[in-house]
Amino acid sequence: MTLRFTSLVNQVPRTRVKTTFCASITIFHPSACHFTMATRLRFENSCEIGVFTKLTNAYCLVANEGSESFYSVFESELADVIPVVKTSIGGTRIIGRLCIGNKKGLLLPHTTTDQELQHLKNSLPDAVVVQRINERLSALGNCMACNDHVALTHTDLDKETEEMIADVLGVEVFRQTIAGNVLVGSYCAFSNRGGLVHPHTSVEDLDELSTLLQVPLVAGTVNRGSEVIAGGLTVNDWTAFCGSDTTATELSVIENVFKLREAQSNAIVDEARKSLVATYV
Amino acid sequence: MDTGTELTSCRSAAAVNLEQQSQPKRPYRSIFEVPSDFFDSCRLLEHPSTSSTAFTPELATTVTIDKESIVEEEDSTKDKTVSSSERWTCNTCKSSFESLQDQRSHFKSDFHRINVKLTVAGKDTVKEDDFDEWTSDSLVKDYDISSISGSEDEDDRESSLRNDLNKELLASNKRKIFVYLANGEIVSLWKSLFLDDNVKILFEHSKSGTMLDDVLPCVTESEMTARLRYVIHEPRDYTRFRVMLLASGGHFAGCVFDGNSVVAHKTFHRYVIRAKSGKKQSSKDASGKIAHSAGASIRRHNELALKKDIRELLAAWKHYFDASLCIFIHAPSDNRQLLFEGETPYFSCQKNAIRRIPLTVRRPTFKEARRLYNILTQVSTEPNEEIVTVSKEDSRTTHTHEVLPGSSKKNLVNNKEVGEASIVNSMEDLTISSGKESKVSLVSTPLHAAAKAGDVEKVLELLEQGSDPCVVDERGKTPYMLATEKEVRNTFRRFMALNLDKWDWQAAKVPSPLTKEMEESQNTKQAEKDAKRKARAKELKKLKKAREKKAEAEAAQAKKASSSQSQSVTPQMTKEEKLKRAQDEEREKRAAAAERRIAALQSQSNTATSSDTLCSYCQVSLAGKVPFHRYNYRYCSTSCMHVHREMLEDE
Repeated sequence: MTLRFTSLVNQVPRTRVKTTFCASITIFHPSACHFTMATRLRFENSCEIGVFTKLTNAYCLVANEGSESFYSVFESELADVIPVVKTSIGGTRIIGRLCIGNKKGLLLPHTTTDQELQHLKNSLPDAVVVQRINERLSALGNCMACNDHVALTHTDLDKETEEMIADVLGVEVFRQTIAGNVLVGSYCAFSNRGGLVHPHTSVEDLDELSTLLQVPLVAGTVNRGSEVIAGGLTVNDWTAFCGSDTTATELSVIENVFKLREAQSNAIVDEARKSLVATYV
Repeated sequence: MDTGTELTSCRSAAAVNLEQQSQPKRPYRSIFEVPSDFFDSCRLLEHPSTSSTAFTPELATTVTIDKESIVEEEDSTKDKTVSSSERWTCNTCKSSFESLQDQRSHFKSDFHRINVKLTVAGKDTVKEDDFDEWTSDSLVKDYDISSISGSEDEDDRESSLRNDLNKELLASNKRKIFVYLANGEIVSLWKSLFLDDNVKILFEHSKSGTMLDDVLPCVTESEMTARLRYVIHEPRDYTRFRVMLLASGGHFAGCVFDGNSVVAHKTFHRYVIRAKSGKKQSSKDASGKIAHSAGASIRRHNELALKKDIRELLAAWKHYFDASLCIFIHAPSDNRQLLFEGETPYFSCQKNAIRRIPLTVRRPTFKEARRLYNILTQVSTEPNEEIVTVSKEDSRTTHTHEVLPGSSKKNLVNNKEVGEASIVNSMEDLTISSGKESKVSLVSTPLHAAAKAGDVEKVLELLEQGSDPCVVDERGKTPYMLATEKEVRNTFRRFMALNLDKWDWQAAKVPSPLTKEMEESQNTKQAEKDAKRKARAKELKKLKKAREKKAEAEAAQAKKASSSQSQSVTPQMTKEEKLKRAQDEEREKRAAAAERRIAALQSQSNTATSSDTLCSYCQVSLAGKVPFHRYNYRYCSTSCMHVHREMLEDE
């Protein structure tokens, strides 16, 4: 059972409870925007939903052959703003760990088949550059993390890959570790508004990273103490999805640091919509 | 001063001093940037001055120290202002920056990447200065820093670096020329910038020896210095170009330089290398197996196209080649045919100054060409040299070195007794004239090298010759600290035991002397230990054997017991077990028999109902008996059967 969650319910006078077809209890926010702040869900009994999805400001990729209810959560949440695309990458469903992207582009590993590449090119907005790259480290999602402006990468990535990232995603690329882990893509998740990093990140590193990336960062966990942040969480500038094991405390940290509460206000939603060059051209 | 501030000081010093070129502080610069009087009254050295200073273990010159302290003062004031506003740091490299720009560019740098990798591997990070040294000297060939494939393994980088250090240094020394400047600095330059590959520099003192083979072209020292001076006085009017042509693996990069500036450049890339198997299509074809795949024909076409592209470019660049002083070429193996037809090049080269690039060349790109050119034209200050406060009178040594003051020679002779003979020989031509006391920076000595390499004999020899074990190298380590092998350390300790008051052994960081008696006692102890261990091992072996024998005997007995069913004979512990087993077998047998009987009974009762339970001859009931069968008849006994048979036969 999936549960859409909001902690603002008390402050909002008019709330209604509605049951959807996928047997989930939904508490909808009645404001002009229908985005919920953070959604908890699971993918076929796995809470690592960041593994099976890739969410950016311009599109959302969801693993295919998953349950329809999982897919419909994203559909209902995002469908009228950004395209939600069902796909596999290299025949696997762990798409969130294999690809990396932002609103400007999408990088796919060399394992991606031609059909998948074509499907993605067809389904994503024209403004999004879809590119397959030859990189030895094929789990791109694990090796890097990015928002629309900056990217953190694994130290062993090829120079060519680095250039490709800079070109396709239009980001500045920094090679760094997070709490001593080279898999920066697994241990942090950040949007243009904020970021969550591995709980063992020292305060100095946190300061350094947030000045480097120019986004506020917080060390924390998801999925009831899991340190694999990007595995349990997928986030863009106005909404987040996390594994259903995520506790209320974790959820509130996520909502705070990603500024999802503020995103509720109309002005910011409009701004967010403006950033969706692709869909509203 | 901790490392952090050191680094910042370097960095901000660079920022503050905008006219770095003229600053002698900066370690590396291009030959085209040096002031025009740079090579005035300079002298060529045959060998680099490493290890020349082993014999005067004093600290760095007052001059450099002064400069440094001035710079530091500047920095410290700057640092304060910076730290008050905001902090941009890199915790991995332990450095801080003045702006976000600086920080971001640092995080993109190879230096940072290496440090992150080192940290992840649990090793110490390197400082920026050391890193510059690495990259510029191309000492770390296999540690390809900014290569395209950044994901090379680097497990034993450090060990290999250490091992290859001397070798590489030697190799690069041959390809470099060392110049002793008027201000006492020793700088090195790449030979190939000035001379063709096969040209030798004829040094004054070795003239007599080399005169014999006049096959190889030679230049004398004075000619060489003249060339050096000519290079820096070259007019930059697009008449003296240097061209760099790189070709390998389907990539081509050509670049024309005028001084430091790039005049023209062009790169090509064609798909010619067979994916996964490597090698060019043409070399594959040459092996006899001609593939007819689509890929193969594409590659063949591309090879031709690349050749054509390059030739067109070379033709178009004719005017550059005509005005060029030398052409640097990197075209390994069959890439050569892209640029040459047989021996004659496709480009016009009047002066015929085609030179190989004495460096590791990565994938030919414009960036790579520029990198190589920068290295080739760079004037690097030798870090280990003897920095001497040279007075004006002494520095009047012109490019011939007849005017060396005798005093310094004497000085040298004194040193000679102390130093290793060969090294002193090499020192002869880098004698540094100094009437006053010559002070020395921290350097590594032959003793360091020997200790590091684990060369026991050399260490002993050097120590006996009087090498100072207290000298610390650039990292503040004494030879003893560098010794990785126990035997080397023992050598130091043995020597210490013999010459307790010759050196300050505490300063040399040798912990305690190792006398003969101590060693003997240690040896005997060790021998005892060994003997004990041996004995124990033997005992264990014996015990094991005995146990095995026992087990075997028991197994054999058990076999016997089970076969003969005799339970009483089996001895001791397994007796009960065997008894039990035998009983079990018995019970099973009985059970089986009982079953059989019951079955028989049942079958009998069955037949009884069908009135066939009587003996066919005597008509006695067969109930409770196992009947004898003959044809369809049943009998109570064999005699009945026989009689009945006879009766039947008679009928």
